[in-house]
Amino acid sequence: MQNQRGIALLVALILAVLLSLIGLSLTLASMSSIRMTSEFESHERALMIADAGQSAARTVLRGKSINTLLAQSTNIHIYLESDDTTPPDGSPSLRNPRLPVEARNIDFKLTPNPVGSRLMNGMLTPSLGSEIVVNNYTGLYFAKLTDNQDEAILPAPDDPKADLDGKVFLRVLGIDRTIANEVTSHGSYFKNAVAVVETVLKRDMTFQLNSPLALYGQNVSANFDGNSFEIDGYDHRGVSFANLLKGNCNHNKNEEGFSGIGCLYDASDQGDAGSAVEKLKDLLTKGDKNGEALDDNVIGQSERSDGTLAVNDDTDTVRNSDNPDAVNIFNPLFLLHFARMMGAVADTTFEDGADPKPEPAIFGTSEAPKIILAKGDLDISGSGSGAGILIVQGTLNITGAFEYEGIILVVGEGNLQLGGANKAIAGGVFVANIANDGTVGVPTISINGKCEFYMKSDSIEMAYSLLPMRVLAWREITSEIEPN
Amino acid sequence: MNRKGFSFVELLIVTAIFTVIVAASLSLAHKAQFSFRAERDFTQAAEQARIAMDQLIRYLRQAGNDPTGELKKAGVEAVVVTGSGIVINSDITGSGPVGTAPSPGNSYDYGDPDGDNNDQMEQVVVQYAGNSDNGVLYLDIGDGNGSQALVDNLADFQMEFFDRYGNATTTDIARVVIRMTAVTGRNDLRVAPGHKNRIALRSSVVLRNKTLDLYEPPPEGTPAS
Repeated sequence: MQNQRGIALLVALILAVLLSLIGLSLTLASMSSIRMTSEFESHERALMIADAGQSAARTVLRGKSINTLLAQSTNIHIYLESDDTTPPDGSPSLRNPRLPVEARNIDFKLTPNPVGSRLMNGMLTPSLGSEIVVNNYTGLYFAKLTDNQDEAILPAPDDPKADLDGKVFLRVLGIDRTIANEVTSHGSYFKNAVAVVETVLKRDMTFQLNSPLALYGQNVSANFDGNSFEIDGYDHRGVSFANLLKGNCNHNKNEEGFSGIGCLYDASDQGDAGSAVEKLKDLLTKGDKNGEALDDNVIGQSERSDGTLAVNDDTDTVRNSDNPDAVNIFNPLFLLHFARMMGAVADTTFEDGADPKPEPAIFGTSEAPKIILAKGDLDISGSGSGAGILIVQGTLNITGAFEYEGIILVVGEGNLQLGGANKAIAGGVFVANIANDGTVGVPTISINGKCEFYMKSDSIEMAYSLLPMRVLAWREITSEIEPN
Repeated sequence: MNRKGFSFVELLIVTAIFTVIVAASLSLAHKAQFSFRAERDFTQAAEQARIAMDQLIRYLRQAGNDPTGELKKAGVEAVVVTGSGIVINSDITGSGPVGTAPSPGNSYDYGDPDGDNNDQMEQVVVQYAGNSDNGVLYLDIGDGNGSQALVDNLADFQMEFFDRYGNATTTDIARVVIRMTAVTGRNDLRVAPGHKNRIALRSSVVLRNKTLDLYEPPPEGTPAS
């Protein structure tokens, strides 16, 4: 019996070895499967991080001048000795906020000593990137803005720090940090998963208005009451709103002038907005109900040229404008869609019939301009002030004292009623009556009491820079597309 | 001292027991071998299908990339549905020769999308040739090498197309749902003699270039939302 004990040991050993072999083979198979899936997963995650970074970087652009961002330079540490550290002139790799090879190999949480540094323009993130959380997962992203270099007339070199057409490249590199899990058991180790996303962004300049009051339609319905309003088409660029309010705007007639009231309607075979212009001129010349002529209350370009009222048909000006977005203003579907879409980006949204209280109602300030959307009628019966963009889909009825700097869009019902206490608007007002099916109707304005409209192109620019950038194109940069 | 050896019967019993144990262990090992092989086959099949899926997703994601607006002007659709698959159009790579200095007549935008879809990876032709468990998905990326098999062990491959409002469509496609079922090459003897393992993959790809522009108004006739 003693001998059988030895057999038991042997059998137990053999069994143990066999079982562990089976176990091991299964584990290896599933491990390779897991590893494979996790590599797909980390690339997807890096892409999500890059995309999230891209959205975050776009919010940085809000309200900022593109040129300022392009010109700002950041000192970037370089961690790898590489021939690719500085891509050749004109190479699209120059748009990378970080070299992809560096992003793959360097652990940005435990950076080695830099081997050098260089100044980079247009960085929207710090040298070591910004952290972002996507689906409870923290990643790192780097973002850089680059001007598209196709604006200059060849062979003149294009200034990379100056944007002319509102179009820029935004490249974002996202890193899913897997380098910390370095595994050497198979003689291999993980590198960071990296994804580079490039978008072409465009500032929408549809509302680069050409007059302090623009009316869209073949005809208008207007009512002017009293002699105390003024619509001033001389550009008050560079004059602060505060100074304007104090009356310190002694513009001379040689300043660049725009129309006082600009009428817009794109139908050359029907004389564009000619009949609207005639109607307004007629009304203003005839005067108000007391017979007082109002023809010197609307000043601007036309007045300078031939001494008549500064009410113009601006349709051609828009048609021939250098601004590629300007013609959108003739697309009623664009305008309707724009007014609706603002619901997604507005800082404040009012429901139909709102009367913002308490007084004074603040619709943004010069320091912090806002996008405000009224989804229907907006009655401002108390005093109020604001800066930015105010979009009203119904009737905008202001009876209290009101000061505004920026753009006011009354798109939808297209009814602007101003009366009662003093008002001053610097920038531009656009009124359009568009039905839900895109039919263009007659805009209505009623001006009663002391109202001042000042053309101010810099306020208009400030306002439309608040709008989210258009994303014209999206592509993922891979080593196939861009070998270096 | 006990010098007595094993009796014959004792040896016989030990040998019999040992044989039974070894036989059992061998059959276990054999099963383990099957298991290993089946797992490896499955992993390989799944890997092939995943790589194919990943490739397709990448091309589809940036379909319709058109920064210069030229493709839109020319009426080129991002995804064109054909009888046996799709054609993915985009303008993602530059065609300028490497290192060319910008000069008049020479694209200043070297490396930029250039307004056409003739370059490598810009017009990608995807074709599926179904054949019970050996369906092949072919990809032609325009590099001069013609159609190359991307994956050749599919039992099923299907695509569904939607516009940006979620309606099924074959024009102005903004989202594509891809379904593919990959099959292992060999039978899995653990389950049944003729059994092959399958893995079904499904992906919903949003064409980024068709959905990102907030400003683009819906086409005429679309009811107000």
